[in-house]
Amino acid sequence: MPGSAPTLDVLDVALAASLVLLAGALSVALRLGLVRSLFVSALRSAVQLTLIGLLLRWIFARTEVAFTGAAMLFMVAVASRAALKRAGWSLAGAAPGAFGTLALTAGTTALAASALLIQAQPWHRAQVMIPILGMLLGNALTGISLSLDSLLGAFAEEKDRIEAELALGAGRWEAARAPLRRAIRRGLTPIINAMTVAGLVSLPGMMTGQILAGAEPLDAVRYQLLILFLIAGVTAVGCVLLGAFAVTRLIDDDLRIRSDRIAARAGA
Amino acid sequence: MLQVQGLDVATPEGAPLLAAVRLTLAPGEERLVVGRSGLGKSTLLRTLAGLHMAPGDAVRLGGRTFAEEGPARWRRRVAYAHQKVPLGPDTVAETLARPFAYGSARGELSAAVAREGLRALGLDADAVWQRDAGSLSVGEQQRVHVLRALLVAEDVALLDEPDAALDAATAEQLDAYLARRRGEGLAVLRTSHRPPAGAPTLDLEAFRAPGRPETVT
Repeated sequence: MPGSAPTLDVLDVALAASLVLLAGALSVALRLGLVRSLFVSALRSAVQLTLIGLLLRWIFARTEVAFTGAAMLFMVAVASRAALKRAGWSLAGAAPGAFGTLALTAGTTALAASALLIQAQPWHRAQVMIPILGMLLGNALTGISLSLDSLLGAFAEEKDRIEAELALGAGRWEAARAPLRRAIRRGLTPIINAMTVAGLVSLPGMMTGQILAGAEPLDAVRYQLLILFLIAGVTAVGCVLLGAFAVTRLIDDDLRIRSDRIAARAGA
Repeated sequence: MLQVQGLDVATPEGAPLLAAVRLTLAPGEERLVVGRSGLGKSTLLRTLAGLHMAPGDAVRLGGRTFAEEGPARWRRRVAYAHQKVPLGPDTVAETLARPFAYGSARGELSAAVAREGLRALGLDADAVWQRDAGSLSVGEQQRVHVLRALLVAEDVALLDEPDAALDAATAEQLDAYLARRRGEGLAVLRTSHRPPAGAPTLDLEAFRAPGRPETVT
């Protein structure tokens, strides 16, 4: 590895924080009324990231596979909750579907990437597995929740269109075909855009981090491509799986639309 | 023969709407469902199609229930058309043909029959055949939508105000087309915006659920 990671000490960060003070001074001068939220948010970022840093240090120091597995399940649980909450509609009984979808897609992909592609030593090394899973979840989440939002929106707002097909003998998948296709397309749009502009508009965060840490740029590029491609796959399969699960909740076994299971999310 | 014996209909929340509905509809028969607004006319039609709730044993077609027939097959035999459904972005031809691609279909749609139906309902079949159904006027869309249900319906057509967006002349064309289809054995249960004179009725006032207030929303 050429060069070594330049480290920062607390004083460096304190100097950077003086820029937040500058932003605060601007807020006072221009009467933006942002001083309080600016300082609170800056303080929050410092506290939250420090805690996460400590937590990660603790997790990475543990080598038991069960421990890493438990951390991964926890991450998947948090992400699946977030995926459902970000959609503008809620669907009763969707939680197991969201958890199962993310565990099956992001979870197994992180495992395979770590063990087979990156060949971490040992294969379940938390320092590799956890950040990869975090990136997969964080990015796939955006697409999957957009996709779910589109699907639930179709069932809530265009119920009659879908029901008109059921009314003439359509099966569950025949009736849901058009809205499901639209939903999957919508879910894949962000990652397609991200791959299209990768490197042109800005350098992806992970690649920037690796370069700052002293990695050879082309090594960083390979890692970044790996992650982008994995995100694309996880998003695609995730949209299909969660969409299919949602359809089984939205159209019951009597082939009736269950509007009673959908509710608009206040403020979404 | 559609037989309804002792059918209770409730709102999704469980409030009773109609009680002990009785109805027999032989092949070729037409019945106009009447009653004040909010009484449950649309809900009754939706119930018979199994879209509002599973109709249970109280509703039978040739002796068979919704559950015995299976939802998709039942709805081809007892086809329902909503009062208003936005069509598109498919063409009129694709819209009419779509249900015949479903697994529950027993045969293919004859383009000649479909075009003939469009003409009978006062549409220029050649002009609209390849047009985006969503680009048609509201009245034209309603006729395409109703025709689609009539092409699918094997035994009974449940039509919710099929004439709501039609003028008097086109409503008459629809009545004439329905009369012809009834001659071929199709039974029709419908509500109407412009009730055709002399049609036998099913007055839902007689089946208002006990205890239900007279004014409903």
